Amino acid sequence: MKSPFKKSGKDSIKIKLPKDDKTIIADFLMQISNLSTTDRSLTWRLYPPLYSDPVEQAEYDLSEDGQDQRPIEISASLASSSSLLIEKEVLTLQEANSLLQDLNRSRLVIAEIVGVKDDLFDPTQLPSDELRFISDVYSYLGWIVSELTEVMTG
Amino acid sequence: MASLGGMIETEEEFDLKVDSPWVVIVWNDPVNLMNYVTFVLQQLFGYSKEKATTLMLQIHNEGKAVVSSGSKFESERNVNKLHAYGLWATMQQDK
Repeated sequence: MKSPFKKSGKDSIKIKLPKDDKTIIADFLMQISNLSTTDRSLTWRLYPPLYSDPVEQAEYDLSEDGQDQRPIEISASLASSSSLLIEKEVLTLQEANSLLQDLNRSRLVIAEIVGVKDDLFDPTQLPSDELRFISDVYSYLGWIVSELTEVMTG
Repeated sequence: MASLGGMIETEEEFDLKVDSPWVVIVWNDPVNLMNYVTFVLQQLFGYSKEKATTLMLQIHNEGKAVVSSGSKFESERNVNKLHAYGLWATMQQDK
């Protein structure tokens, strides 16, 4: 399958995704943007603990630094990437980097929705067509993230 | 030295705690892709592709790897940056 991303000049990346695919990904980004401020149980993976030691983490959570603004920032970033994907065909490296982060965040949340716990995850065992569709999107996003990573690295 | 409920530290323990550097650990997870993890380590720490790949493989095969060390402040900043990329990272004092 041909990569949907191509370096364009030194500082930009061209997106060559079919319009329908762009729309599906943008919709997912927007839905996860909404979830990130409303459903901590599905989006907890976006906010891991800072400290290995739970006691130090509890102290941090109570401190001023621990007052968590991340859901609002992450939600805004996901919404911005959703618009970016629909509106632009050429991204700056900074925009591509933000898109990459947000696509990966989407995978983290979708993994929680479909129950990816380890490398043995088997999507054929999912109990509904809806979950199997979401799992397909998860795999597709994996390919997108991998291809964008390769272009950004190269 | 005996202490009340383990709350009192000896002077040596206190000095060790203050002086010890903090380490940042990245943990293996089933979602983040291998080339993505390598890219993030290169991007955030300026590591060569070889060093970033070695660390990524250590994370994948051993479950975790120390990716940086430094002051508490620097480590907090690094962990937050890794979290922004979706990597599972924590920090702890290197004792």
